Amino acid sequence: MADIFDTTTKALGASLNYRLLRQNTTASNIANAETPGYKAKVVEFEDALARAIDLDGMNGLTTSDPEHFALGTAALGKERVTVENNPDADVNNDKNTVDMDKEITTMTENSIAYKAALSLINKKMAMLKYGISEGGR
Amino acid sequence: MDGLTINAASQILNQGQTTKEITRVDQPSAPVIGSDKVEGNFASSLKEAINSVNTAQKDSDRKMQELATGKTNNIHETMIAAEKADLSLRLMVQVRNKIIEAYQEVMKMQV
Amino acid sequence: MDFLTGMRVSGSGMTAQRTRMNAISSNIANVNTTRTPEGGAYRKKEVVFGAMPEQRNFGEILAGKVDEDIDRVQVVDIRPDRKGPRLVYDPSHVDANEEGYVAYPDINVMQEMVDMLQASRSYEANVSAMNTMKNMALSAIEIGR
Repeated sequence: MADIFDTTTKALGASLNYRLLRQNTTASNIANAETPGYKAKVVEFEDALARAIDLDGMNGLTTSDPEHFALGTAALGKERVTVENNPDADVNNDKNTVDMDKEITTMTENSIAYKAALSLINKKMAMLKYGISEGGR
Repeated sequence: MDGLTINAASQILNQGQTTKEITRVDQPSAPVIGSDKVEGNFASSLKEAINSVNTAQKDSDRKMQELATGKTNNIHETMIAAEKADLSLRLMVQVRNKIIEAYQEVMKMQV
Repeated sequence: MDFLTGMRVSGSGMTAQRTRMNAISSNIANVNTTRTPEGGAYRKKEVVFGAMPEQRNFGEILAGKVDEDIDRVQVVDIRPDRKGPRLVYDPSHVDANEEGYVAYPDINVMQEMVDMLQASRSYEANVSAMNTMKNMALSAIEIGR
Protein backbone atom coordinates (compact mmCIF):
# COMPACT_ATOMS: atom_id res chain seq x y z
CA MET A 1 0.00 0.00 0.00
CA ALA A 2 1.47 3.29 -0.98
CA ASP A 3 2.22 5.71 1.78
CA ILE A 4 -0.82 7.91 2.15
CA PHE A 5 0.79 10.15 4.74
CA ASP A 6 2.65 12.88 3.00
CA THR A 7 5.57 14.97 4.11
CA THR A 8 3.36 17.58 5.73
CA THR A 9 1.80 15.10 8.13
CA LYS A 10 5.20 13.77 9.06
CA ALA A 11 6.55 17.28 9.52
CA LEU A 12 3.65 18.22 11.76
CA GLY A 13 4.14 15.05 13.78
CA ALA A 14 7.84 15.73 14.19
CA SER A 15 7.14 19.30 15.24
CA LEU A 16 4.80 18.00 17.93
CA ASN A 17 7.61 15.89 19.39
CA TYR A 18 10.05 18.74 19.46
CA ARG A 19 7.59 21.16 20.93
CA LEU A 20 6.96 18.71 23.72
CA LEU A 21 10.67 18.51 24.35
CA ARG A 22 10.82 22.27 24.43
CA GLN A 23 7.95 22.35 26.91
CA ASN A 24 9.74 19.90 29.20
CA THR A 25 12.95 21.88 28.98
CA THR A 26 11.13 25.11 29.80
CA ALA A 27 9.45 23.46 32.80
CA SER A 28 12.88 22.37 33.95
CA ASN A 29 14.23 25.90 33.57
CA ILE A 30 11.34 27.38 35.52
CA ALA A 31 11.66 24.85 38.33
CA ASN A 32 15.39 25.61 38.57
CA ALA A 33 15.03 29.37 38.30
CA GLU A 34 16.75 29.90 41.61
CA THR A 35 19.23 27.08 41.69
CA PRO A 36 22.73 28.47 41.92
CA GLY A 37 24.91 27.63 38.97
CA TYR A 38 22.08 26.30 36.83
CA LYS A 39 22.32 27.15 33.14
CA ALA A 40 19.10 27.67 31.19
CA LYS A 41 18.60 25.29 28.28
CA VAL A 42 17.06 25.89 24.87
CA VAL A 43 15.84 23.52 22.20
CA GLU A 44 16.56 24.39 18.58
CA PHE A 45 14.70 22.30 16.05
CA GLU A 46 13.15 24.64 13.50
CA ASP A 47 16.07 24.86 11.13
CA ALA A 48 16.83 21.16 11.29
CA LEU A 49 13.21 20.33 10.59
CA ALA A 50 13.00 22.82 7.72
CA ARG A 51 16.05 21.23 6.13
CA ALA A 52 14.68 17.75 6.68
CA ILE A 53 11.41 18.43 4.89
CA ASP A 54 13.25 20.37 2.25
CA LEU A 55 11.19 23.49 2.66
CA ASP A 56 13.08 25.43 0.03
CA GLY A 57 13.43 22.66 -2.46
CA MET A 58 17.17 22.99 -2.27
CA ASN A 59 18.05 19.43 -1.49
CA GLY A 60 18.41 17.40 -4.61
CA LEU A 61 20.89 14.97 -3.13
CA THR A 62 20.63 11.36 -2.15
CA THR A 63 22.86 9.39 0.15
CA SER A 64 24.38 6.00 -0.44
CA ASP A 65 25.30 4.99 3.06
CA PRO A 66 23.21 5.08 6.22
CA GLU A 67 26.08 6.73 8.03
CA HIS A 68 25.98 9.81 5.83
CA PHE A 69 24.06 12.84 6.95
CA ALA A 70 20.45 12.25 6.13
CA LEU A 71 18.97 14.51 3.49
CA GLY A 72 15.52 15.04 2.16
CA THR A 73 12.51 13.30 3.59
CA ALA A 74 14.62 10.41 4.85
CA ALA A 75 15.90 12.81 7.44
CA LEU A 76 12.61 13.11 9.26
CA GLY A 77 13.17 11.53 12.61
CA LYS A 78 16.91 11.95 12.52
CA GLU A 79 17.21 15.68 12.83
CA ARG A 80 20.00 16.87 14.97
CA VAL A 81 18.07 18.72 17.59
CA THR A 82 20.12 20.41 20.21
CA VAL A 83 19.29 20.95 23.82
CA GLU A 84 22.00 23.18 25.02
CA ASN A 85 22.78 26.00 27.32
CA ASN A 86 21.45 29.29 26.11
CA PRO A 87 24.47 31.17 24.78
CA ASP A 88 23.16 34.71 25.12
CA ALA A 89 21.68 34.59 28.58
CA ASP A 90 22.47 37.07 31.27
CA VAL A 91 24.15 35.71 34.31
CA ASN A 92 22.78 36.50 37.73
CA ASN A 93 24.78 36.88 40.88
CA ASP A 94 24.57 33.20 41.67
CA LYS A 95 25.55 32.18 38.11
CA ASN A 96 22.00 31.19 37.30
CA THR A 97 21.05 32.10 33.73
CA VAL A 98 17.30 31.59 33.79
CA ASP A 99 15.24 34.57 32.63
CA MET A 100 11.77 33.92 33.99
CA ASP A 101 9.93 36.21 31.61
CA LYS A 102 11.59 34.66 28.61
CA GLU A 103 10.71 31.20 29.84
CA ILE A 104 7.05 32.10 30.33
CA THR A 105 6.94 33.63 26.87
CA THR A 106 8.55 30.58 25.33
CA MET A 107 6.10 28.35 27.10
CA THR A 108 3.07 30.31 25.94
CA GLU A 109 4.15 30.49 22.33
CA ASN A 110 5.15 26.86 22.31
CA SER A 111 1.84 25.66 23.66
CA ILE A 112 -0.10 27.68 21.08
CA ALA A 113 2.00 26.31 18.23
CA TYR A 114 1.58 22.80 19.63
CA LYS A 115 -2.18 23.08 19.66
CA ALA A 116 -2.19 24.56 16.18
CA ALA A 117 -0.13 21.66 14.86
CA LEU A 118 -2.49 19.21 16.59
CA SER A 119 -5.48 20.82 15.05
CA LEU A 120 -3.90 20.77 11.59
CA ILE A 121 -3.03 17.10 11.86
CA ASN A 122 -6.63 16.49 12.81
CA LYS A 123 -7.79 18.34 9.75
CA LYS A 124 -5.51 16.38 7.44
CA MET A 125 -6.67 13.09 8.90
CA ALA A 126 -10.27 14.18 8.55
CA MET A 127 -9.72 14.99 4.87
CA LEU A 128 -8.14 11.58 4.32
CA LYS A 129 -11.02 9.87 6.08
CA TYR A 130 -13.48 11.78 3.97
CA GLY A 131 -11.73 10.78 0.79
CA ILE A 132 -11.57 7.15 1.87
CA SER A 133 -15.25 7.02 2.70
CA GLU A 134 -16.13 8.69 -0.62
CA GLY A 135 -18.08 11.34 1.17
CA GLY A 136 -20.54 8.90 2.66
CA ARG A 137 -21.91 7.72 -0.66
CA MET B 1 -5.62 9.61 -1.86
CA ASP B 2 -6.89 11.98 -4.51
CA GLY B 3 -5.69 9.68 -7.30
CA LEU B 4 -8.43 7.16 -6.73
CA THR B 5 -11.56 9.26 -6.95
CA ILE B 6 -10.45 11.84 -9.48
CA ASN B 7 -9.15 9.32 -11.97
CA ALA B 8 -12.44 7.49 -11.81
CA ALA B 9 -14.28 10.72 -12.52
CA SER B 10 -11.93 11.47 -15.39
CA GLN B 11 -12.57 8.15 -17.00
CA ILE B 12 -16.30 8.57 -16.82
CA LEU B 13 -15.92 11.97 -18.41
CA ASN B 14 -13.95 10.60 -21.31
CA GLN B 15 -16.67 8.07 -21.99
CA GLY B 16 -19.29 10.65 -21.31
CA GLN B 17 -18.16 12.87 -24.16
CA THR B 18 -20.59 11.06 -26.42
CA THR B 19 -23.50 11.65 -24.06
CA LYS B 20 -22.62 15.32 -23.77
CA GLU B 21 -26.24 16.52 -24.11
CA ILE B 22 -27.37 14.62 -21.06
CA THR B 23 -24.40 15.49 -18.87
CA ARG B 24 -25.05 19.12 -19.70
CA VAL B 25 -27.71 18.90 -17.00
CA ASP B 26 -24.88 19.07 -14.48
CA GLN B 27 -23.27 22.07 -16.06
CA PRO B 28 -24.94 24.81 -14.02
CA SER B 29 -22.86 23.60 -11.09
CA ALA B 30 -19.62 24.12 -13.01
CA PRO B 31 -19.35 27.89 -12.38
CA VAL B 32 -19.84 27.23 -8.63
CA ILE B 33 -16.74 25.05 -8.60
CA GLY B 34 -14.65 27.96 -9.64
CA SER B 35 -14.28 28.20 -13.37
CA ASP B 36 -15.49 31.43 -14.86
CA LYS B 37 -16.34 30.32 -18.34
CA VAL B 38 -19.27 27.97 -18.97
CA GLU B 39 -17.77 26.06 -21.82
CA GLY B 40 -19.52 23.46 -23.84
CA ASN B 41 -16.68 21.09 -22.93
CA PHE B 42 -17.64 19.58 -19.60
CA ALA B 43 -14.40 17.64 -19.28
CA SER B 44 -12.20 20.72 -19.36
CA SER B 45 -14.23 22.63 -16.81
CA LEU B 46 -14.09 19.69 -14.46
CA LYS B 47 -10.37 19.43 -15.04
CA GLU B 48 -10.04 23.07 -14.04
CA ALA B 49 -11.99 22.39 -10.89
CA ILE B 50 -9.73 19.46 -10.04
CA ASN B 51 -6.71 21.67 -10.58
CA SER B 52 -8.04 24.30 -8.27
CA VAL B 53 -8.64 21.69 -5.56
CA ASN B 54 -5.09 20.51 -6.06
CA THR B 55 -3.75 24.05 -5.80
CA ALA B 56 -5.72 24.64 -2.62
CA GLN B 57 -4.31 21.44 -1.14
CA LYS B 58 -0.75 22.31 -2.05
CA ASP B 59 -1.11 25.79 -0.68
CA SER B 60 -2.50 24.47 2.57
CA ASP B 61 0.30 21.91 2.79
CA ARG B 62 2.91 24.56 2.30
CA LYS B 63 1.44 26.76 5.00
CA MET B 64 1.28 23.82 7.39
CA GLN B 65 4.93 23.04 6.78
CA GLU B 66 5.84 26.62 7.44
CA LEU B 67 3.95 26.55 10.70
CA ALA B 68 5.57 23.28 11.76
CA THR B 69 9.04 24.66 11.19
CA GLY B 70 8.27 27.99 12.76
CA LYS B 71 8.93 29.98 9.60
CA THR B 72 5.60 31.68 10.01
CA ASN B 73 3.54 32.34 13.07
CA ASN B 74 0.44 33.29 11.14
CA ILE B 75 -1.92 30.75 12.60
CA HIS B 76 -5.20 32.12 11.25
CA GLU B 77 -3.94 32.11 7.68
CA THR B 78 -2.89 28.50 8.03
CA MET B 79 -6.26 27.53 9.51
CA ILE B 80 -8.15 29.31 6.78
CA ALA B 81 -6.08 27.68 4.06
CA ALA B 82 -6.65 24.26 5.64
CA GLU B 83 -10.37 24.88 5.80
CA LYS B 84 -10.44 26.04 2.17
CA ALA B 85 -8.65 22.91 1.05
CA ASP B 86 -11.02 20.77 3.05
CA LEU B 87 -14.14 22.44 1.70
CA SER B 88 -13.02 22.40 -1.90
CA LEU B 89 -12.20 18.70 -1.53
CA ARG B 90 -15.61 17.95 -0.10
CA LEU B 91 -17.31 19.92 -2.85
CA MET B 92 -15.31 18.05 -5.45
CA VAL B 93 -16.24 14.69 -3.97
CA GLN B 94 -19.92 15.56 -3.90
CA VAL B 95 -19.85 16.81 -7.48
CA ARG B 96 -18.13 13.60 -8.51
CA ASN B 97 -20.81 11.61 -6.70
CA LYS B 98 -23.53 13.49 -8.53
CA ILE B 99 -21.84 12.92 -11.86
CA ILE B 100 -21.63 9.21 -11.22
CA GLU B 101 -25.26 9.12 -10.14
CA ALA B 102 -26.28 10.96 -13.29
CA TYR B 103 -24.22 8.57 -15.38
CA GLN B 104 -25.80 5.58 -13.73
CA GLU B 105 -29.26 7.11 -14.26
CA VAL B 106 -28.45 7.47 -17.91
CA MET B 107 -27.13 3.94 -18.24
CA LYS B 108 -30.34 2.58 -16.74
CA MET B 109 -32.38 4.00 -19.56
CA GLN B 110 -33.79 1.52 -21.96
CA VAL B 111 -32.91 2.56 -25.46
CA MET C 1 9.29 11.42 25.90
CA ASP C 2 6.13 12.23 27.68
CA PHE C 3 4.13 14.80 29.50
CA LEU C 4 4.64 13.23 32.87
CA THR C 5 8.32 14.13 32.93
CA GLY C 6 7.55 17.81 32.56
CA MET C 7 4.78 17.66 35.10
CA ARG C 8 6.99 15.93 37.63
CA VAL C 9 9.63 18.60 37.13
CA SER C 10 7.09 21.37 37.70
CA GLY C 11 5.84 19.49 40.73
CA SER C 12 9.35 19.37 42.12
CA GLY C 13 9.59 23.12 41.61
CA MET C 14 6.39 23.66 43.57
CA THR C 15 7.59 21.44 46.39
CA ALA C 16 10.89 23.26 46.56
CA GLN C 17 9.23 26.67 46.69
CA ARG C 18 6.86 25.50 49.36
CA THR C 19 9.75 24.23 51.48
CA ARG C 20 11.34 27.62 51.06
CA MET C 21 8.09 29.28 52.18
CA ASN C 22 8.09 27.10 55.26
CA ALA C 23 11.62 28.16 56.08
CA ILE C 24 10.68 31.82 55.59
CA SER C 25 7.62 31.51 57.83
CA SER C 26 9.78 29.91 60.47
CA ASN C 27 12.25 32.75 60.20
CA ILE C 28 9.61 35.45 60.47
CA ALA C 29 7.87 33.78 63.40
CA ASN C 30 11.14 33.44 65.29
CA VAL C 31 12.49 36.89 64.72
CA ASN C 32 12.82 37.54 68.44
CA THR C 33 13.53 34.07 69.72
CA THR C 34 16.46 34.07 72.09
CA ARG C 35 16.17 30.55 73.39
CA THR C 36 16.24 27.30 71.43
CA PRO C 37 16.60 23.62 72.40
CA GLU C 38 20.08 23.56 70.80
CA GLY C 39 21.10 26.48 72.97
CA GLY C 40 21.62 30.08 71.96
CA ALA C 41 19.45 32.27 69.81
CA TYR C 42 17.41 31.08 66.86
CA ARG C 43 19.46 30.94 63.67
CA LYS C 44 17.93 31.92 60.37
CA LYS C 45 17.23 28.95 58.14
CA GLU C 46 18.43 29.00 54.57
CA VAL C 47 17.23 26.71 51.83
CA VAL C 48 19.68 25.50 49.21
CA PHE C 49 18.38 24.31 45.83
CA GLY C 50 20.11 21.86 43.58
CA ALA C 51 19.34 20.58 40.10
CA MET C 52 19.14 16.81 39.65
CA PRO C 53 18.48 14.92 36.45
CA GLU C 54 14.92 13.75 36.32
CA GLN C 55 14.70 10.05 37.09
CA ARG C 56 13.65 7.82 34.31
CA ASN C 57 12.50 4.30 34.48
CA PHE C 58 15.08 1.66 33.86
CA GLY C 59 13.74 0.56 30.53
CA GLU C 60 14.34 3.93 28.98
CA ILE C 61 17.84 4.12 30.41
CA LEU C 62 18.66 0.78 28.84
CA ALA C 63 17.32 1.95 25.52
CA GLY C 64 19.72 4.84 25.69
CA LYS C 65 17.14 7.59 25.64
CA VAL C 66 18.54 9.64 28.48
CA ASP C 67 19.89 12.43 26.35
CA GLU C 68 17.29 14.94 27.24
CA ASP C 69 18.80 16.88 30.13
CA ILE C 70 15.58 17.55 31.95
CA ASP C 71 16.44 18.57 35.47
CA ARG C 72 14.19 18.67 38.45
CA VAL C 73 14.96 20.85 41.42
CA GLN C 74 15.52 19.51 44.86
CA VAL C 75 16.08 21.08 48.23
CA VAL C 76 19.59 19.93 48.95
CA ASP C 77 19.93 21.37 52.38
CA ILE C 78 18.15 23.48 54.94
CA ARG C 79 20.99 24.90 56.93
CA PRO C 80 21.34 27.56 59.53
CA ASP C 81 22.72 30.88 58.58
CA ARG C 82 26.45 31.26 58.98
CA LYS C 83 26.27 34.77 60.35
CA GLY C 84 26.44 35.16 64.08
CA PRO C 85 23.59 36.42 66.19
CA ARG C 86 22.85 40.08 66.71
CA LEU C 87 23.97 41.25 70.12
CA VAL C 88 21.88 43.79 71.98
CA TYR C 89 22.87 45.27 75.27
CA ASP C 90 20.13 44.58 77.81
CA PRO C 91 21.35 43.38 81.20
CA SER C 92 17.86 43.07 82.63
CA HIS C 93 16.85 40.45 80.06
CA VAL C 94 16.48 36.89 81.28
CA ASP C 95 18.83 35.53 78.63
CA ALA C 96 21.54 38.16 78.96
CA ASN C 97 25.05 36.75 79.13
CA GLU C 98 27.79 37.83 81.59
CA GLU C 99 28.47 41.11 79.81
CA GLY C 100 24.79 41.95 79.61
CA TYR C 101 24.31 41.24 75.92
CA VAL C 102 21.35 39.36 74.61
CA ALA C 103 21.76 37.37 71.41
CA TYR C 104 18.91 37.92 68.96
CA PRO C 105 18.59 36.23 65.61
CA ASP C 106 19.97 38.29 62.78
CA ILE C 107 16.77 38.24 60.73
CA ASN C 108 15.69 41.19 58.63
CA VAL C 109 11.93 41.00 58.29
CA MET C 110 11.90 43.10 55.13
CA GLN C 111 14.34 40.70 53.50
CA GLU C 112 12.17 37.78 54.47
CA MET C 113 9.09 39.46 53.00
CA VAL C 114 10.88 39.99 49.71
CA ASP C 115 11.95 36.37 49.71
CA MET C 116 8.39 35.37 50.38
CA LEU C 117 7.13 37.31 47.38
CA GLN C 118 9.83 35.77 45.24
CA ALA C 119 8.92 32.27 46.40
CA SER C 120 5.27 32.96 45.71
CA ARG C 121 6.02 34.20 42.21
CA SER C 122 8.18 31.19 41.44
CA TYR C 123 5.48 28.92 42.74
CA GLU C 124 2.95 30.51 40.43
CA ALA C 125 5.29 30.19 37.48
CA ASN C 126 5.64 26.48 38.18
CA VAL C 127 1.88 26.12 38.46
CA SER C 128 1.52 27.89 35.14
CA ALA C 129 4.04 25.53 33.52
CA MET C 130 2.14 22.55 34.82
CA ASN C 131 -1.19 23.90 33.61
CA THR C 132 0.20 24.52 30.16
CA MET C 133 1.52 20.99 30.01
CA LYS C 134 -1.83 19.65 31.14
CA ASN C 135 -3.67 21.63 28.45
CA MET C 136 -1.33 20.37 25.76
CA ALA C 137 -1.84 16.78 26.88
CA LEU C 138 -5.61 17.20 26.94
CA SER C 139 -5.71 18.61 23.44
CA ALA C 140 -3.51 15.78 22.19
CA ILE C 141 -6.22 13.40 23.36
CA GLU C 142 -8.58 15.02 20.88
CA ILE C 143 -6.68 13.87 17.81
CA GLY C 144 -9.01 12.08 15.46
CA ARG C 145 -12.08 12.93 17.49
